[in-house]
Amino acid sequence: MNAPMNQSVGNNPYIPMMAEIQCVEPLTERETLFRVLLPEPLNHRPGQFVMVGLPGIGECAISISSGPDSGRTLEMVIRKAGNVTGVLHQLKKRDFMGIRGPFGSGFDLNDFRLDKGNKDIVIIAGGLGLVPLRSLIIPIMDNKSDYGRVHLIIGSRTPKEALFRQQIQQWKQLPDCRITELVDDVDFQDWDGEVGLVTEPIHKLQLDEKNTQLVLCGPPVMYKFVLMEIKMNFNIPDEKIFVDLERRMRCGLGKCGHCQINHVYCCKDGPVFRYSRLNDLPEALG
Amino acid sequence: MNAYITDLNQIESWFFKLAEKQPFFLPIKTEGINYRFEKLNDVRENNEQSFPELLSYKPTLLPPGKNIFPDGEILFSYYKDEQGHYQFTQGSNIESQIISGIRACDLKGIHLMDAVFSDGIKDIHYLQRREKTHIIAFNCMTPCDEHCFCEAAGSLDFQTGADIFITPLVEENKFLLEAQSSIGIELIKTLTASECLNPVELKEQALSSRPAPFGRQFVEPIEQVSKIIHQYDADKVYQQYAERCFSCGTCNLVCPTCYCFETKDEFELGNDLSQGRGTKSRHWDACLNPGFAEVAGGHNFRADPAARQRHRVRRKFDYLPQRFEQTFCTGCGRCGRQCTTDIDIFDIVNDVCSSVSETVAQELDK
Amino acid sequence: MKPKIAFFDFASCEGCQLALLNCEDILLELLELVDLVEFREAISEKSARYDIAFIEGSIHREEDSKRLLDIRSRSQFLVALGACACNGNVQARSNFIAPAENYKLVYGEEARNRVQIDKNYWPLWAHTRVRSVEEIVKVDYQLRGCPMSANEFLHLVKALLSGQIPHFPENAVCVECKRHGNECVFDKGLSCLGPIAYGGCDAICVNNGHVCDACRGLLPYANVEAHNNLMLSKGISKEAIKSRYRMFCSAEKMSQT
Ligand code: SF4
Ligand code: SF4
Ligand code: SF4
Ligand code: SF4
Ligand code: SF4
Ligand code: FES
Repeated sequence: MNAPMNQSVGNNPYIPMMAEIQCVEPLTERETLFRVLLPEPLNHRPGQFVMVGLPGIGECAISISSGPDSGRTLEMVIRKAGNVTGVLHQLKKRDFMGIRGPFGSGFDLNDFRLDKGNKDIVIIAGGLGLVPLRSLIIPIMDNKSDYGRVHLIIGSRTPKEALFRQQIQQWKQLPDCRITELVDDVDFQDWDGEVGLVTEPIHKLQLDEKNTQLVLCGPPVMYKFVLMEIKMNFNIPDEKIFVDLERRMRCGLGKCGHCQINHVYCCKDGPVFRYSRLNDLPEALG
Repeated sequence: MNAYITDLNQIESWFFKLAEKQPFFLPIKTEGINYRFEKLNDVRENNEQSFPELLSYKPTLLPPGKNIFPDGEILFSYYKDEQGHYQFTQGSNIESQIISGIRACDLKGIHLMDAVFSDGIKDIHYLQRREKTHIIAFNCMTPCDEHCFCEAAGSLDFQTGADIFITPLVEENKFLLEAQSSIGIELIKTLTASECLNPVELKEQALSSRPAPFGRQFVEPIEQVSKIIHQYDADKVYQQYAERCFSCGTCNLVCPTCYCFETKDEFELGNDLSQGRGTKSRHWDACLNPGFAEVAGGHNFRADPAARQRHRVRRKFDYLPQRFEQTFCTGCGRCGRQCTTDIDIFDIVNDVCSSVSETVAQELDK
Repeated sequence: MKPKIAFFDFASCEGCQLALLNCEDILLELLELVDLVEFREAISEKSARYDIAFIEGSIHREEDSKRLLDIRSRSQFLVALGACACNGNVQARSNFIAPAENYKLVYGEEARNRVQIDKNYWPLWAHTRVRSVEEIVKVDYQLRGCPMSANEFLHLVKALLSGQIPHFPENAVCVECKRHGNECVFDKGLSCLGPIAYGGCDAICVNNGHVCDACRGLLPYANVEAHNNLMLSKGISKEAIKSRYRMFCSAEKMSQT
């Protein structure tokens, strides 16, 4: 604490930028959308994440939910799960929160463009999985003519936990967009989507298999079943299947070792991986 | 030519001279059977005589690299100013230090840490300290004890990164000192020594007088070891060791190439129960700790002790070598030496290799 | 209104409160932020509610457990303070001996015999079993150790007062011992319970030239069998090992083996 004041602090990768909260919007009982204003643009790629927290309290890895063109504005959905997220949930408009990043590899939009021969894009999201994938869906929907057919399968546990429903309605209006929303259980609430698991609609997809890009994000248990279902019905090459994985992150810099999956660091080489790479990473879906 | 010859007395008095100018560390015997890097000035206060350990010491309890990556290092401190804005300051003050008596294995360890902390986003805390750390290394003439396997791991005679590298010569009480950097040349100026005209020849003589093979050897050459560790899960072997493992983390914490850390955020409670000022620090962590790979939801990606043991072995012989093209075990023997239940990474590796050749042999029989 | 913090004493040496008083300066600052209800006041104010109730000591008599239940019902957070409250501590060694025998050991044969005839004589040891706090009520947090660590105490209080969840890392004492660069006591011909013991104490005993006796209890993943073998291999007798295990963790699983 007797730290020298005169040293430059610019290049210390552990010091966060402080972002001002512009809007706090509770989405469900546990999940809240935060929109913050950063001191400078983040220039992130879809699928990247940031370390979010408060000095003195701690940090956790949070997916970026806004599209890559959002400038100094950043949107994140934070689930109240532990101490840090609990404290973040107590923050209000005009409070500050610490942001470091963006970290990780994320998606390259070029991998999805129509002019690169990609006829179909399938995006399967379970639960909070929609949160990081929203950063990919937004730029696709905003420039829909640059992309082929888009198939979204979005699953939640109950209608209460379904996220971004209004925005999903708007996406449904766009040409060549087929969106299936499901819940595991209606739980006596109003629900205009389907009931079932995200695996169920997969076999009904109409795809140009050779020219399909498929993206997957959800709780750890989901991957195995969804991948099985895909393999049973389609012949999509493993390099064209992307999975977005969760690990415990501490530094975000590829140093602390907590996020390691076999020989790769999730925070550096991930959290988005091509399925073809996972053959070499048996711990990934463990 | 930056090679000199001198004797132990001169080296000792030179060390004392250097120690007057900056913190100067060297290995000193502990109460028990080990060695530890201590500040020379503190040592002198407690005991007047010289330190013959310089010729015989085995790797210290903690590797010297930990002086560059201290436990509990402050990554930044902060306070909230009157307007409620956060103000940050860098971290701790970094002063220069000399670490002497670093063995080849530990020199390699530091070299590997340099690679890790400058890869990708740079870790300025480590790198700034590294820049201010000067190294006087000591070559080994005999295997330090029954735990070491530096030759097998390819780190015997590793010389890169030392400002001065010292080799004991065949002629008794004669030492060859090679200054390998501008700082080394500067440091050596205060040493009483004669210039050496045939360093290559003398060194060659010294090295060839060493026992061969030098210490324990793997059943396979190191390249082959890496391939086997990568390719085979060898559940049985890891399980067998895991049965007597405490998951205590000692093997990680004492390893010169383990650098995993946990971060800790602390605050002082203000009058309004807010967190007005505080720090972020980092603390050595261990992948053998059961909670190491647990994620927020409680799922543990390496809940099984055998999986953690394999993770450690693969980090040294497979994962990090894939990323940095060097073996990340220096063969210093610390993990085996300090594990209370006698688990030695050398034995694990050898057992995995042997179990594989047995399996292969059985398959051929069929 | 300031948060109300209360301390309650059961069977203990009050060493933990002493440990607290030792970090006076920080304590004084803290006192400005909270309303400290002392144990004696606390009993007179029967209806009071506490934000944090600290329980020190193990539970011996029936009336103690009733009092504990009452405190629980009036407290938002209940914290077991120190080894006595967390796992019974040395007192719980008596669980392995018949009460009368125990009495003899402590107070002598004559006193034991008097107990048999004089109804009013046997106040403290009139129990069948020494219990930890957890055996009677729900415990929100445990501050382990004999005595508890002042650092952990402060962490807990700061976290709870600022609406956070305190976090205590779970690792062996060896982790902290190595962070201090200690020479393992096994290398000095001594033996140690550190590999199977809950850390958090910063390995204070080994730092100060002693060995670890696992005063904070055993880790949930303690490999007791391997430790037993390790101790045997050092030439320690079965009886000595058992008594070592029982020293502090009497109320816990291992000593019941
Ligand atoms: S392991 Fe090798 S290099 Fe290291 S001290 Fe022992 S003999 Fe020397
Ligand atoms: S030092 Fe030994 S007992 Fe401890 S975690 Fe490592 S292998 Fe297991
Ligand atoms: S794994 Fe063991 S022998 Fe290898 S460098 Fe680490 S401590 Fe030394
Ligand atoms: S002295 Fe005890 S706590 Fe320290 S390393 Fe040895 S066994 Fe572990
Ligand atoms: S070192 Fe062991 S006996 Fe000492 S305080 Fe820690 S847990 Fe208790
Ligand atoms: S979060 Fe630290 S290495 Fe990935």
